[in-house]
Amino acid sequence: MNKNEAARAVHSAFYRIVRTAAAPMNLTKFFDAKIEDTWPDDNSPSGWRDFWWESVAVEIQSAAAARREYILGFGRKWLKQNKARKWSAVLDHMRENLVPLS
Amino acid sequence: MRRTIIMLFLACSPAVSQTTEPPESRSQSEINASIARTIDEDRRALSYAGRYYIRVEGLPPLNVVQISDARTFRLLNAAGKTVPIRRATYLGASGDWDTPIRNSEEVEESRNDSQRPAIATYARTALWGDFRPDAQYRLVVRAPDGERHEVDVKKLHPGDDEASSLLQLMTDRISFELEAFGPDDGDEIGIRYDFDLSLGSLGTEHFWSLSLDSQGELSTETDSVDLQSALTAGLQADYRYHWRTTPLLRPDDRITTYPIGVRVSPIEIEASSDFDNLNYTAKVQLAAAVPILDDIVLLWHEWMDVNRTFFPPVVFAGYSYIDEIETTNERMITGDEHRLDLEFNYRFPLSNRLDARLQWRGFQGLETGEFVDRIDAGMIFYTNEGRNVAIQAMYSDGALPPEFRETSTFSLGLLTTF
Repeated sequence: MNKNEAARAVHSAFYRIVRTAAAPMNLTKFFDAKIEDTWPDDNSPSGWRDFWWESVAVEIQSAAAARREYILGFGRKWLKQNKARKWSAVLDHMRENLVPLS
Repeated sequence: MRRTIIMLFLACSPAVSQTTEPPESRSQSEINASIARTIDEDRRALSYAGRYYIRVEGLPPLNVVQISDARTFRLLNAAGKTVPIRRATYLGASGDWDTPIRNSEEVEESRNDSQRPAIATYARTALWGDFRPDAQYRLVVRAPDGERHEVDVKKLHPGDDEASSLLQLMTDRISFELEAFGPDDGDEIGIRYDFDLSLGSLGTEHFWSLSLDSQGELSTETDSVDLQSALTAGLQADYRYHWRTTPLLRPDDRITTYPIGVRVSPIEIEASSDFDNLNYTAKVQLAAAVPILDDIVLLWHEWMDVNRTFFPPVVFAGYSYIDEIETTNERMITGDEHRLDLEFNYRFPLSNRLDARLQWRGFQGLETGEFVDRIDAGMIFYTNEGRNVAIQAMYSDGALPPEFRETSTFSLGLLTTF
């Protein structure tokens, strides 16, 4: 993946999970926003309490998997621990941690 | 710049033979190698991943053939013996990542001016094998031009990249919703809680997770007749698939996902708050987000200019096996070993600070034929911008296991989410 492919993969993965009536932020604004500032309210049902963290991470990994790649060290925990950083941090992480899926 | 320095260095370095040069004659280079730890998800997703791997950075550009060439990397232990490298893969992205991100309207233009190289090259690799984090390794790299480099592999010191503190670990894995409320009748205080401890997950397209869950409603008065005395706690395994579709009601080609799956709770207890009535249960349920209803929320948000995210309505339906361990005459329904459980959850953000909430649960005894349900409908007003503290006004009517005691209450409470 090059940077623009990675950016579009992350952006569309996020908006496949997170529903908003407003149009999605454009890529520039999205990657300049902090993860926690774009994050959904904690309104997932009982038993799926970690749904947002799990599902956004899964969708981003799925987007990488569609290109036969995997983001090393990235998952629900990474997103939670880096929520105060901008979305561009995900791209920085991908830049250094993409590996072939098989 | 770094690449230029490396190339200059390579041009100045004497050519050496990998087979004849003793390990002692080591060249200087900017290549860095260090032991790193994988996370659980990595090992589940990657068939070749072990607990530790070696990150090699600052390499001269290598393509995937050169990276996987067994002659490119050689790992030596402290005794100078070769340590097997099971696999070498590229690590990170190829190409130029310093360009600004293009917005979607600029993508069409960019398709015509793609400067993607014919063969991708990488400056980082990951070496996979049975490595020890505290061992002394030395890495020998043979560059494509035959140049040989040697570097010490940095050990993984105890505490480096370690799992976080217990507090951090718990914060990452626990979610907890607590409500203290006062019913319209009586002086008692009611408590509702929902606790979830995530034990682990795996998968990408098909996602599995394991958790410990407990929910309940109880009163400060153990012999209360106005509030439920109903606790559940158990181990829960969830399978989830993200079904992708385009919303039906909205003129929008945006694709959204609807989680559907199966929930298995092999061990769950249903108890009254004094544990005088106690069931062991095993449950299997189908779970599905309901399409179309969430489109109504999106339309409402567009009309009312509400900038909120929300969860689609979710239905759970399944079979429960019941074994009554403790029972008293406070239990309104007894004798059912087999039960059909249904649940519908809907949370509708009406404005930026106000939610409507509806939860309906139904319990159909398959032997006694008795049907009991419970409805909780109310409004949630958030008192802060983070929307984790709220005042909840709720009307509740019906009964919950194990006692299935009929109550009807209007309550006002303070709801906090951790």
